[in-house]
Amino acid sequence: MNVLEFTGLIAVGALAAGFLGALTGLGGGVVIVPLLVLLGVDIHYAIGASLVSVIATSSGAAASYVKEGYSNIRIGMFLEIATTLGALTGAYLVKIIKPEALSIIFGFVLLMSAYLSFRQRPRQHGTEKPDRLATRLRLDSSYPTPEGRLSYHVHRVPLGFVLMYIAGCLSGLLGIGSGALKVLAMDQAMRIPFKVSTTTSNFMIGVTAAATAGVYLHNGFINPALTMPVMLGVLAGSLLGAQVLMFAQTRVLRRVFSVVILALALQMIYKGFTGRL
Amino acid sequence: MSEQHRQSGPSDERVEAVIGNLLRIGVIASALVVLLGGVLYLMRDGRQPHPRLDRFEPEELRSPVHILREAASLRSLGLIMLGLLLLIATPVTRVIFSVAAFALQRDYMYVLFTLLVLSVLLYSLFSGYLTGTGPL
Repeated sequence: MNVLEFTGLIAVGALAAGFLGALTGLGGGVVIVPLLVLLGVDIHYAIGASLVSVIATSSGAAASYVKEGYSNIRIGMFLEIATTLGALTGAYLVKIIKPEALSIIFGFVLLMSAYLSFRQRPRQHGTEKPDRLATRLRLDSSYPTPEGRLSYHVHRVPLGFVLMYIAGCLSGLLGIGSGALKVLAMDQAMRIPFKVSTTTSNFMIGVTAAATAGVYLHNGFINPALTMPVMLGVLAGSLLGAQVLMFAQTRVLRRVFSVVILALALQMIYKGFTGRL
Repeated sequence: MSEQHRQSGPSDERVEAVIGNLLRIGVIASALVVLLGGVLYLMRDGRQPHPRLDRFEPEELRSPVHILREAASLRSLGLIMLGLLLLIATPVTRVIFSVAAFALQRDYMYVLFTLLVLSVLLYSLFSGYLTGTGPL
């Protein structure tokens, strides 16, 4: 295989990963890493390339989310303190943890993310009392609904902060956005409305990944020849996926893709245990 | 009513709209640079056997200074890395912009939070130089 064929193959795989990531809501990162590993790429290069594509999709999608007026920059910025510190921790851990162990951790995180995002249902949010810490941090806000702007109160800030640190750690360790865990922290733990949680999570993913990227760059995880087709492919695929999402029946698609996700996760765990990396 | 009515400076919605556009421009610019580098790379090395990626061996293009030098001489891999560097800089720019926006709103608690995030980002990008382990 020459450079042209190799690059083309990776680009097609990345396009599919970005598409799948957007449709399932898991993000391109968790799909592209197992795909690259399957193609025989070292896991360090795979997570480096994935991380870069995570920044691209997160930043590219943010512009359209912002127009809808759901995201809350105060919640995002406050929690980014936790995610960026976690990302630094994770990025340093990559050097210590063996590739086989990384692969196994990746497989389980992929399974967990898939479970979380398929299970997630918008929580009914009632009229809850304001939380003192959240009020002091000015996290409460409002979001648009068909009946006008609806205000909401944020709860359990310390728990959310800890979960965000863990999400950041996983992001730095595995080169993924860990959006599923971020949404869990905001929607379930902090009782932030689902739409606000998902859009704010997307907003945070880019900054979290940028915190990891510096360390990866110094470690040499970011290989230009590999990252070029991965970044361009995932970006194009996710933009395409976002378009399809708007008018496609996603329930069937999600079920089909969950099988693919399951297979990818098991592959990572299997490769880790057998040491075939 | 909500916090926004008591704030001075630009509204949160306005700030978010500007940030959204900033991010989009950053992504488009970096994708174009990566694409340009990629085309040059494929034109020159397309027929070569593909790079070995099955075993991790740290690349030489690891420092912003080195990347800029390579990109300036229009080396294809240097250009790709420059595009990736632009991409990494996009969220960092967003955070810098947020510091200014919170300062205009006189929301000093959030200026502090944002500066904290910014210092983590800058530490990640430049800590290699501080400890002397990073290549220059």
